[in-house]
Amino acid sequence: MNTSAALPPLTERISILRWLRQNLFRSVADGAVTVLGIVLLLSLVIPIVTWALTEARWQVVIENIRLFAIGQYPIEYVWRVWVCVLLLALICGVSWGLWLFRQRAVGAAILTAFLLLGLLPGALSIPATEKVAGFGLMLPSLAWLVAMSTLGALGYAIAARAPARARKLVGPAWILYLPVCFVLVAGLGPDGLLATVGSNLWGGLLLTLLITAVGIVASFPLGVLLALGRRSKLPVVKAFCIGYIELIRGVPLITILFMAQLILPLFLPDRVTFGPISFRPEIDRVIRAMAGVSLFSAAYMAENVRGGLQNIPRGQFEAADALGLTATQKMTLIVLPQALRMVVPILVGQFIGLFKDTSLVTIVSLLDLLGIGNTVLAQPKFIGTQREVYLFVAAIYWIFSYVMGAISRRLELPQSASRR
Amino acid sequence: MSQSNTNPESAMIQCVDVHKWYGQFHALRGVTLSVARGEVVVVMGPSGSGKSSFIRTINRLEEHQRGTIIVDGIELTHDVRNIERIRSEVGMVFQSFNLFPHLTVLENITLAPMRVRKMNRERAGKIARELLERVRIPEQADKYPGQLSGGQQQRVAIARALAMEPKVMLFDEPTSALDPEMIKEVLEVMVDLAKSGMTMICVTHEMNFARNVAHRVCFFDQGNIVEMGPPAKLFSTPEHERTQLFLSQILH
Ligand SMILES: Nc1ncnc2c1ncn2[C@@H]1O[C@H](COP(=O)(O)OP(=O)(O)OP(=O)(O)O)[C@@H](O)[C@H]1O
Ligand SMILES: [Mg+2]
Repeated sequence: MNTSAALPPLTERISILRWLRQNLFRSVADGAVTVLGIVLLLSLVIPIVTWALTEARWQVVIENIRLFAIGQYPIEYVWRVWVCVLLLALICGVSWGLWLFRQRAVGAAILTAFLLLGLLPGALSIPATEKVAGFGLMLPSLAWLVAMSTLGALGYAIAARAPARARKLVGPAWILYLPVCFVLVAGLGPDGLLATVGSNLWGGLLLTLLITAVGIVASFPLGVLLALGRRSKLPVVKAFCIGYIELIRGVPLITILFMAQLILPLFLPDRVTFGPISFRPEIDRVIRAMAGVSLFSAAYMAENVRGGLQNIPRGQFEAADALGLTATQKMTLIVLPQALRMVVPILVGQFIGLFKDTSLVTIVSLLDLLGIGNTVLAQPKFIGTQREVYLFVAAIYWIFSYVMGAISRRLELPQSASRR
Repeated sequence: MSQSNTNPESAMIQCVDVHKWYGQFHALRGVTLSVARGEVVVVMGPSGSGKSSFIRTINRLEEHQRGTIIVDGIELTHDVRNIERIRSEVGMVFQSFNLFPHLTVLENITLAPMRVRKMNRERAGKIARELLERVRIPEQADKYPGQLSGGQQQRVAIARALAMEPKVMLFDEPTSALDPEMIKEVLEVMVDLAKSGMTMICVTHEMNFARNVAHRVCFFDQGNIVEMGPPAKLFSTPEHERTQLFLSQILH
């Protein structure tokens, strides 16, 4: 920080009274607002904190932590989920080392997210029957934290030692990451290490994060294509894109989720026959929800990207033309990189919205984080623990949203908008 | 009307009866001009007379609706391949620089040689550094355009155009967005370039540049060339009344 030079001398700086007077009690009105604010805050916070520390039955969260984390996912295959988390730690480490090594704050935010993710495997590695609060949770959690930090540090070290080679690997690694996770979570065959785990067993935070990730990864290219199509000179393409965007934006997500559940199957033939194989095609319920979320998000993505495209000055197009770049090169090398950089904060905002909106899949009876919360509340043992459960669920949503927002705010993109 | 003694065969650029309309507005009204290899032509004229429109038709940033434009033996038609070939032979420098702000200076210069000419990175980088040397800012290679002064940016823009090894360079008021001391550094580079034998068409109102470097000055008014000749003659004894008026305004 280079602000120290601008601060007043030490004697003044440490004077708390002076600070109070300048910031909170500048005038009578100022002081009144301050006092009122403090009173309101305390009258809200004190009861909640007291309740949380004394009355609240957090047992409902502790005993069901596994449901909240992974739903009904079979415990013997849980390691596959943790492999996904560890892989993420590795790739993040490499990326951080390559691109963001000077940005401590981003590193800190990523680390926080991992700390939180690390608590879960620790909690889960204890059989549900023996689960108790307290120290039982701490040791395995710590072990996981160490494992993840080690992998993250390993990635960082790889990036620092061999930047060129790491750079070649990290792009494909990110692209492959989600498909690999999907295979790991869903499984491949009828039995063995990678036995299939039906999507009806996925749940909790795992399902929420999967739907979010697929939604982001699928809607991003789709949205960019729609935005480009909307500017197309071909009337049919243009009309289709405008029609799609305006239609989707005029409909609530929840209707789209219902439509995805009910209408998508209508597009499929009754039977598919490949030589000797013949089967009745079906799209999995989770996949249908993912498709709904992606199709919905793509329309908003398209509008945001279009905003960026409109802000690219005409001179950029002309300079690219004058150099003899083809239309595709002009788009991919000059226009899109600038347009996307311009809208990164907006896109991240949209992703956070998408993450929270996935809670609507509860209504088409998927057991995401919120859905699990509802089933937990139905357990006879925990009747009347709505406050605890919803507070916990809200806290998880908040933490992830906050971390995403913090990363995007701190991210310094090189020279994005500085032009004369 | 051409006063140069070049035969059409060796002409680098040949424009015959070029017309352009923006909607209803008739912006170019039968411009005919032939530019020889190695010739430096300065274009002058009042605002809105069609100077920019004219030089932008030469690399098809604007389409002309009538007449022919032939650059180095290739005629500009709707054929996209011809357009791309001509664009890679013709460098252009804009009033507002139009550097790519998300790329470093070096990347700005190497982009087109690598993507259009399929040059490898090492060779393109080497050529780029030589060009930066030539426009006298070798130390700025790794900065972003936003970190440079206007004069430096315009010199990068010239280097970027030169990296394609063009046969013709077009300048559209390259110094009119610059402060006086920066104008000088850009003009120096342009003078060097002219001396090296580059074919150039420059829209500019820099009288000294026109006087010392140009082989010919064209005076534009209302979408056509009204007078054309060697700078010494055109500036001292302009024949056309519009030219006299314009020059008297610019010189005082
Ligand atoms: N894209 C356009 N659409 C409509 N009219 C245009 C367009 N571009 C230029 N014009 C008109 O064509 C005429 C010639 O413009 P041009 O830019 O070629 O003039 P210029 O000689 O370069 O002027 P200046 O010295 O101001 O740059 C002007 O009257 C202008 O209003
Ligand atoms: Mg102009």
